[in-house]
Amino acid sequence: MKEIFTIHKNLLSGVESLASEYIDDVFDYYNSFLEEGKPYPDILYNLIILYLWLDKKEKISSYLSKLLQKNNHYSKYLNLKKYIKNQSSKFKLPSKINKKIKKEIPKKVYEFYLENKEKFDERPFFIKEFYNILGDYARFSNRNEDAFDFYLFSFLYSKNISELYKNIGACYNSENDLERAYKYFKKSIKKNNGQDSDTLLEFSHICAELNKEKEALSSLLTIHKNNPHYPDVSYRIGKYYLDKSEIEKAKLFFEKALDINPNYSAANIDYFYILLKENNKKEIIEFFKRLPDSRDKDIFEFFYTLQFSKNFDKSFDIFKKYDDFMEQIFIGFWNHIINSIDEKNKIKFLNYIEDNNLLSIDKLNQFKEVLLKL
Amino acid sequence: MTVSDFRLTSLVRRLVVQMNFNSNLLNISVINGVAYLKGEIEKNDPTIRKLKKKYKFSDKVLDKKLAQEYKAGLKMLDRNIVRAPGIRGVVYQLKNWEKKAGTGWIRKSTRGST
Repeated sequence: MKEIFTIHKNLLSGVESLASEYIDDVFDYYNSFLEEGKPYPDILYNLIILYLWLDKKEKISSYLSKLLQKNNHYSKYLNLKKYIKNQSSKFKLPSKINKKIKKEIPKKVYEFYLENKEKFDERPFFIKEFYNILGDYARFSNRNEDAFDFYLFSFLYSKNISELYKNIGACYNSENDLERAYKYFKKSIKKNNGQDSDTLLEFSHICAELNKEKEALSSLLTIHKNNPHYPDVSYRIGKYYLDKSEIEKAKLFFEKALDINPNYSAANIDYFYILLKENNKKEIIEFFKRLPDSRDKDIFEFFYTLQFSKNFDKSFDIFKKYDDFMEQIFIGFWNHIINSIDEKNKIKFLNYIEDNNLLSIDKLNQFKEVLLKL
Repeated sequence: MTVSDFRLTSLVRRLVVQMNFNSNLLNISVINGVAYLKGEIEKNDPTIRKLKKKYKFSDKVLDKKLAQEYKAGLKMLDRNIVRAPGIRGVVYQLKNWEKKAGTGWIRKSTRGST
């Protein structure tokens, strides 16, 4: 993909006519989620914006009440409610592009803005959201050049350069151009002082892929500081520390993730590993008490029994309960946990299987190899 | 050099998003270099949604076509993950699909899962 600021083919010929080509498909796309009984919050939000643009009031209020039933603490949705209820002047978009922002956009785009200033200045906020929605749809449809034109149009209404950089970053990200995605997400974060969690999260993934793990961690910690209630963010921070063998910190963040979501499977696996590595029998028992009954719990009990109670009847019962458990052991999924179990316990368990003819010779040999050669 | 699980998790997430699967419905992690995907598989791309909306397929035909799309998508996703540098295997725990040795991807229930 070319440097995106050089492409704005539709800007002069008419983004509005391009929008009219998209609008029916965009409506169908978002409505299809509701028809399937999947009223995800962002789907409702986007439909409300689309109906505001069409000025169809009857749909707006019913979708708004659905949206706020479960999501009444997100400022994005609360702002939409305020706008709909009050249509307040403070929700109007800015009246001019300031000098600092002017320096960051191409001259042609600025000239286009000046020629059409009255169209873009002090308009209701939903218009810029409308063009962002079209931009997202074009991006999902792999039409990034159209997406950029919509995003640029949205910017001319909002004058929000941070949002424009975020959207350009998203275009590059979907093209797998990670270096450029990194550059634009970073600019976006700098412009809004790290206030947008979605951008920070996406940025953290890009940083991780580019082997800039410290920068990824820093983004995740910023999100966590602003809002400590995202289990995925706490889990990823824990995972970073676990990879770096900073066990106490890892444990703390896995606990945070599990406080919010006790069924968080990956967090449970990594947390159990730490407890087992610490040989912390007491904490493991407490952990089991908090853990809902599940396949994960059974499997942890298998490893616990192997290490502490040596009740091999019970271990083997759990072992044979799940068809794919052995396969997971073979591909190495449980390596870190198996490594934390005493060698003599593993040998005793294998002897127990052999003495009681519980596995075929082939399977037993395979199992021996995995269990003892880690 | 071993690639960290932290880094591999972001790589696997990209592969999921590239296939237009809704990453918000999945827990994606990498443990010991093994990718771990737990949750629900749902495709978000406009092509699939157009298929549902625009063409007058009977329910049965639509269901079959969607199942084929999902199956092909899962097959490609699995192949892309396994081929990713640093990844040693994949463990799936999906609500609506199951990978069986020999037969490949099988939908767990016949209606409403796609």
